[in-house]
Amino acid sequence: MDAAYRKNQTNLIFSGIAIIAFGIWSALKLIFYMGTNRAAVLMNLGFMAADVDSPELVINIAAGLIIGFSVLFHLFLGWSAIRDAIGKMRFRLYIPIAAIYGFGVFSSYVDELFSHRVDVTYGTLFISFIIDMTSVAALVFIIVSSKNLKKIRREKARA
Amino acid sequence: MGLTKRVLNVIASLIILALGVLMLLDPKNSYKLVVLLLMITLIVKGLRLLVYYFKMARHTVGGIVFLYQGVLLLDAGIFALSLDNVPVVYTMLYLIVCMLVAGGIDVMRSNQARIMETGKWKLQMVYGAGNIILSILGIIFLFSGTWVAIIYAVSLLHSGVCRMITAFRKTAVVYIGG
Amino acid sequence: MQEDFHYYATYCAALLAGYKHDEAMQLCYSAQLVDCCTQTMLARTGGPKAAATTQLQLELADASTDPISLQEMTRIWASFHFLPKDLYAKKKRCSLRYLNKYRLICDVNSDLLVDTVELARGESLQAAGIAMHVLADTWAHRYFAGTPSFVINNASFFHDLESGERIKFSHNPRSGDDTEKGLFTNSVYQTSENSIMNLGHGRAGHLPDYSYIRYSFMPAWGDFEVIEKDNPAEYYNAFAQMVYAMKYIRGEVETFEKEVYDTDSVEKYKELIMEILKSSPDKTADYWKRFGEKLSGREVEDFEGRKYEEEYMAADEEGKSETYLGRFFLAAMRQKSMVTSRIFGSGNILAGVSIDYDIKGFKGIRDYRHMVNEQLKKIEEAGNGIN
Repeated sequence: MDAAYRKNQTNLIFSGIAIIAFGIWSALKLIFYMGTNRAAVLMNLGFMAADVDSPELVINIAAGLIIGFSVLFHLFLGWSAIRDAIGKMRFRLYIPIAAIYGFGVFSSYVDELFSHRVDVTYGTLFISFIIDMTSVAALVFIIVSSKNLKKIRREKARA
Repeated sequence: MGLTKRVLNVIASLIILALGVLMLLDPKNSYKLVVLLLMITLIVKGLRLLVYYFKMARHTVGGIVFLYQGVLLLDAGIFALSLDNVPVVYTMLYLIVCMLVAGGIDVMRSNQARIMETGKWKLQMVYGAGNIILSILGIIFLFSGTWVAIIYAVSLLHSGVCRMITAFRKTAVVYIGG
Repeated sequence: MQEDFHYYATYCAALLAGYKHDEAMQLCYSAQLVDCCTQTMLARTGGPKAAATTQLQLELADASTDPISLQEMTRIWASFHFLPKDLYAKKKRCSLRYLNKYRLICDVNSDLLVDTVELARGESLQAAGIAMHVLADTWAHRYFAGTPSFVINNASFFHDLESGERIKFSHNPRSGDDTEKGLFTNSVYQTSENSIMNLGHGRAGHLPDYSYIRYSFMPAWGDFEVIEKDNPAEYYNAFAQMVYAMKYIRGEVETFEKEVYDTDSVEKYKELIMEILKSSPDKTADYWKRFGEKLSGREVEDFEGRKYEEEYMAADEEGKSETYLGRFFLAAMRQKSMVTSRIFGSGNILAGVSIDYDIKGFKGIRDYRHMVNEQLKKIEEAGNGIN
């Protein structure tokens, strides 16, 4: 049981750190892209076509806020996983959030892949595929490891 | 080392040396080549880490970290390749960090060897100091694409020479059965 | 293990096995010499480079991580300090590359240990000394492999079993260990698979070599299981097994079997031996020495590393193999050859290639020709004896 506990704890910590790292890296990539291909990034973030060409500061700030929120979201998920691993998490609210997020990322890929839409650039899709799918894998590790840890802790408490 | 491996090593080192010399001859126009090579290096490093994870590290305590590292490096390489124009300062910063780390390690190890009074520390100290000097030059010429090419070319030449020496090292492999 | 056990304890065990004082001195000297016979020493004396039984830290630091250097390293460390337990071990769903390294994990009572002890029977005292060094190290260096490998030799989660406290390491080799204060050093954490930092028990520092300590740790290969190491108990077993092995080498016992310890001969000294083993590392050598002198009634010389070098260097080419060091080098090459051949025979290339002389004729390192000639001479002499 101890070995299983340590294994799940380690996986949870490392996967939590990975989620944080992926979040920061994805944000950095978006910022880099803003320098070279601002229009495409803004379209990706959901801005209207009319706003995309506008150089207004407001648009840039809004884009920055969205990117910032994404980083904070990843930080929340990763940090919660780490705290859960060391036993300092009472309400594991992050688990359903992680599940919904992971499902969302995965299904959006499936949708884009099979949508046969003209505007889908498979090259761009592939580029972000690797890290996004690994993020999904990390989220799955987090969910499974957290569940296992909870079970082991319960058994230990009973014994 | 078998004959095939030796031949491959010699070919690889000749290619590396040729690239290094080419870059030194025309550093001004070599910046894009440097970026391409660096990005390929990142992709290869990422792939190697991923292969290492699946073949070896997944059986080891905490091995999952290699999976995540590999993915990050691979993604960084692919991302950089996809950019139309990588700003010089990013490339130079990357080179500076790599050279500082490599140079620092060489200097520390050669210092240890010097303290233990063995004769082999001087060459390693020269390599380490050379790397550090290159990284200082990089800081001075932070925004110069020409200097990126020069610094990278020098490191390529060093790598090529080391590989050539390894290729010609005496083999002492075969043993008598007990 | 260190000089206290390889030299002084081996001397004591040799006496209990029936060796006389002079024989025991030669034997234990050879056991300790295994930790000193480096390429540097061989270059100084003009000995065969292939007889190296250990590597200095600096030799390791200078070694590259190409396949040849790694094989050279593995040959030395696996043959003399980390004798593999099971060259045919199985592990589910892993690559061949991982399995080859996994199979080099050292542990006690292996088939290779039997081969090592049998190889020394009827041979020189130097061969017996080498066998005792190898035997003793299988106890101390259990759970680590004699090849650089992050996935096998990395270790973490060290705890002192006496106090329950976590053992913390520093990485400054110049500071050394302060066992009184519980301060230890180990090799730097390095994720590169073939880094020398991941050779043997580097990540555990000198803990495996201290006879007094009881600790637990988590090896990288162990799937998060924690292993407990009771060094005093294990060193005691090593001592008892050495007595049994040396009795076999002397011819007093017919067979050498695994998991057999001559506890009868050692039982009446058990309390004293356990006291020695549990004492502070800076005192154990002295206590073993006094125990040895009590057993033999003679003075035990301190180990002097260059004692036999002049004899070897002064001898002519023909006479070198009759010198102390000449016999030691020969025995070392035989041991290395045997282990390499077993490892290669199991399909594992990590220690290099080995060929059967009988089938392929002589090929390979010139140094080994001398060993082969000596073996042929022995066979010839045995044949003449029969005729």
